[in-house]
Amino acid sequence: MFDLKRTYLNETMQLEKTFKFFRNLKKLLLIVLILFAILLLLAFFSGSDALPRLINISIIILSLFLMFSVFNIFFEDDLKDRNPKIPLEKALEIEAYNLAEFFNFNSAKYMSNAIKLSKKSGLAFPTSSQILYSFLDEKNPKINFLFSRLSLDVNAIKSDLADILANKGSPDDSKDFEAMITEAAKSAAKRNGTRIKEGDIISALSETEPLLKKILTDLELGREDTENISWWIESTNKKMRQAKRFWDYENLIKSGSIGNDWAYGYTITLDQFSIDWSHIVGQRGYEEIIGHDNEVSVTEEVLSRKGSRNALIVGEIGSGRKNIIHAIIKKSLSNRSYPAINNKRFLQLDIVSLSANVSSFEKTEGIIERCFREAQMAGNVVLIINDLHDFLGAKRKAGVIDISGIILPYLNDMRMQIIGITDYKGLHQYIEAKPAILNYFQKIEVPELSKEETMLILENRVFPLEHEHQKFITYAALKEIINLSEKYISSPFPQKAIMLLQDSFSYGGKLADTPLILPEHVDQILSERVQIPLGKVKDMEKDILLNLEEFLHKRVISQNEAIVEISSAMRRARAGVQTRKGPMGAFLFLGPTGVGKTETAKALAEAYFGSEDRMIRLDMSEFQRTDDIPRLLGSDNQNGILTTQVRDNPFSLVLLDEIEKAHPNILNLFLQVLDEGHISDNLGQKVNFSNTIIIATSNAGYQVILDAFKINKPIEETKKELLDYIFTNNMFRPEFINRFDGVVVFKSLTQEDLMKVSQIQLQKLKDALAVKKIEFIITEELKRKIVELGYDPVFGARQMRRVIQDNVENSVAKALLGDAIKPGDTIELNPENFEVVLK
Amino acid sequence: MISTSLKYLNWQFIKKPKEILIGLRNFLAFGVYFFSANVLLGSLFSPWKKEVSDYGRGFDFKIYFEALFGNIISRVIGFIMRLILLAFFLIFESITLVIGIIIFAAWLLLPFAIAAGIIYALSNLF
Repeated sequence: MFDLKRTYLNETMQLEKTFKFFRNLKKLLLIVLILFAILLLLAFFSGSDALPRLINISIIILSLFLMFSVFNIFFEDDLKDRNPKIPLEKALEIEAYNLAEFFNFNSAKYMSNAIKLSKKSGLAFPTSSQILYSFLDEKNPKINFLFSRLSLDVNAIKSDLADILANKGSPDDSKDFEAMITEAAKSAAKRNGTRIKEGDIISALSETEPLLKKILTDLELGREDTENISWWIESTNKKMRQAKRFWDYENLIKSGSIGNDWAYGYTITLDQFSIDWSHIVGQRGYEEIIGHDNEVSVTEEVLSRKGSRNALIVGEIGSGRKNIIHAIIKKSLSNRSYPAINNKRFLQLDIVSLSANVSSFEKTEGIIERCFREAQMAGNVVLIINDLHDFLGAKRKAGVIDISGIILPYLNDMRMQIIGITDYKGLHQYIEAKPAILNYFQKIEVPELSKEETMLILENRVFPLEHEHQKFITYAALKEIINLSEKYISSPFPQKAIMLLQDSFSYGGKLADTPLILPEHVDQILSERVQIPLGKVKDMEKDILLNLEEFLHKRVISQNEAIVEISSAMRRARAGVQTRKGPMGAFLFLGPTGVGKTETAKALAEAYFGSEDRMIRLDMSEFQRTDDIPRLLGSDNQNGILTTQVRDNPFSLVLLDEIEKAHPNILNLFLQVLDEGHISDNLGQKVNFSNTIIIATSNAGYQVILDAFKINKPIEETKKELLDYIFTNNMFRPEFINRFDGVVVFKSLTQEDLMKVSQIQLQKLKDALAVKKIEFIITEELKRKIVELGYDPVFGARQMRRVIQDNVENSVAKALLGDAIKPGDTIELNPENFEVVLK
Repeated sequence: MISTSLKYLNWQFIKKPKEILIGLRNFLAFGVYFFSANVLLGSLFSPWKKEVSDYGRGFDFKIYFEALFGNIISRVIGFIMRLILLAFFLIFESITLVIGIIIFAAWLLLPFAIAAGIIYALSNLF
């Protein structure tokens, strides 16, 4: 329900003009007051008789000025902003509750204008277009912010809307008015707002108002995005309001305290070799810490319980591990945590800089020991050790020292708490190897932040970067940062997105021609980094995808059906039609040896990733036992052949040769890869396969293909027969086969196909000789002879390479070395004895 | 009009004074935080900077009394130092309280002062 007349806002709107008059009067009185002050001074120094009169008039002006000032504050502070009777969430549950009560003053004013517009056009309620028109106030900073972040011009949209409204071109959706208000209220509730504000109305309209909806759809944006910007506006406003309230406790405590040091012990050495996070976080004031609420409260509980009170924060680098500590420090500074945490000093022991500054190893150990003792004696220190694993027996390197012996006696001490920070690799490799130490720590695992939380973090970081680089980033560019970093950077959120945001500003700084940072700039940065065309399918990539069949056929002879199937699947995957989580594409190539399965994979790697070197090839016959799994995924002593290569080159084609020879348990591992697009290595770290193409090859049931080939059976029928054969003989389980995007059958090559293969292979020799200025004529007879010698129905064209090598290449090499041929010659080869014949 | 007048009275004499009192409370609480008064009171007789001498193993009269003397001195220094800071704390709180009360009273009296100012000046003028 929506009825503005039954709210306080109606009266406030009526009073607005009066109070506007008061405001102007106040300004005028201030000017007059200043003038009278000058006159008073002149009268005072000249000893004028008018002085008492002037004083009395000044008192009246001052009193009136104060009165209007008070009225002005009263209007802004009270009349315009009264607390609703119940929370918004509750009101949403009550069907007939008047949601107008939750509108902020400006929204109520715009909505009232929209209602007036609707009355003029004879409607009971305004249409979505009329509402949008009323809300497009270019003087409203919130509206301006929202539209400029969306790279939209408020005035242009308003003028388009005016045309549409004048021509009655907008649909009459006034019956949906109340539903729209409810949606706006939901948007407000979603951002934990207590009021329905301008951004919430625009968010709701983004789904109903045809013009706005179309504009946003064209920009690939939607309600979720306007809601995000709305959150951004309100959160920024809130921070600005809070920062102005100097009397708030959080603002006051920014100056720190002096008494604490007088009650606790000296930490002279520790102060020298530590970072005082309590001081740093205190200086930041109202810094908003987003996400990981649960981890923060668990860490607080651990630090304040009885017994050993040490927390081990485990998470990937960049997952926001330190932010958890910052959140606790914020609470500690404002006394909002447990007594064991409140007003404690959070000091990060800087062992690396300590080691760098102290010459001898023994001295370093001595200083660390002293730091621990000081922390213990001081009684108000929470000691933070970053990369704890590095100091618990990790390999010796510069700045790294083993503190296992030093730390142990302090772990069960009630006078101090220790927070260790580590990653999964460090935990499994080094800390778990020291159970005596690990037992004193409570592990707190830090998951990756969500995309939504990361967006809020980016929004919080935008203003200082914009100020520094004098560039304006659009919301679409922020969204591109989130989407691309999710897809193409393997480290966790939020750090990878923050890094890309900073890179975008550095890149934007170099762009002299535009003050904006747009999505294409973000694409450009990441494309350069990962060497893959990104974003909108770039022209070159588009060409490759559209002509993939042609591209593959340059290297692969025949196999038309196979190539069409692969190409279609790749186009589906790349154009974003598929929404599954697995790799970019997964294919099972079935067919006899030497028919072009590997060659197709190489051609695909070249087409898609730019080079056939982007292929990770695994001979699965080497993985016939379960004991081979550590070789694949890694173990303490060795890197995983699969996991390491994919982590190092996430944009690769993974070729699993002779998959039928692998152990069934190893095939099961690939089920997850094909399904979820990731696998965990021996350290529990996820390896992402979503940017790979996986091709498994097998000659299982090749006899079926050979038989079908003899009687010219259609490929679809052969495929069915082949799969039946495979399932009957338990070669692969159906659930394994079903995980592939395509099971592609490669048929045997005909004599004609082989002639083409020999042409391709001889052409390579011809090209090599052309460099030496020797022309090599490839005759039909020579090709026929090579096919005759090289063809084998079981091994396909595989022998042909050997035949060319043994006969043709050897013969040419001998002639070259014996100076029988020299630059400028034209040669042919006698197909009978492969002797070089000069032409 | 009546409703707005009532709202004004509520704002001037209830809502805003409440906020001023909350601000005053924040300043007083900040004083406690800044001087760490609660911590200082809790550790009023603790040794200064927690510096204590070890009594040693076994009982050696000389060492014991040396340590005892040193520790008593440390506690006395601690007590004096903390007392000084607590005195500053009390001064800060008193000044804050006085200023707070003045602001509170000034706000409550402001409408009357304005009216009185106008009446006084007008009566002098005419």
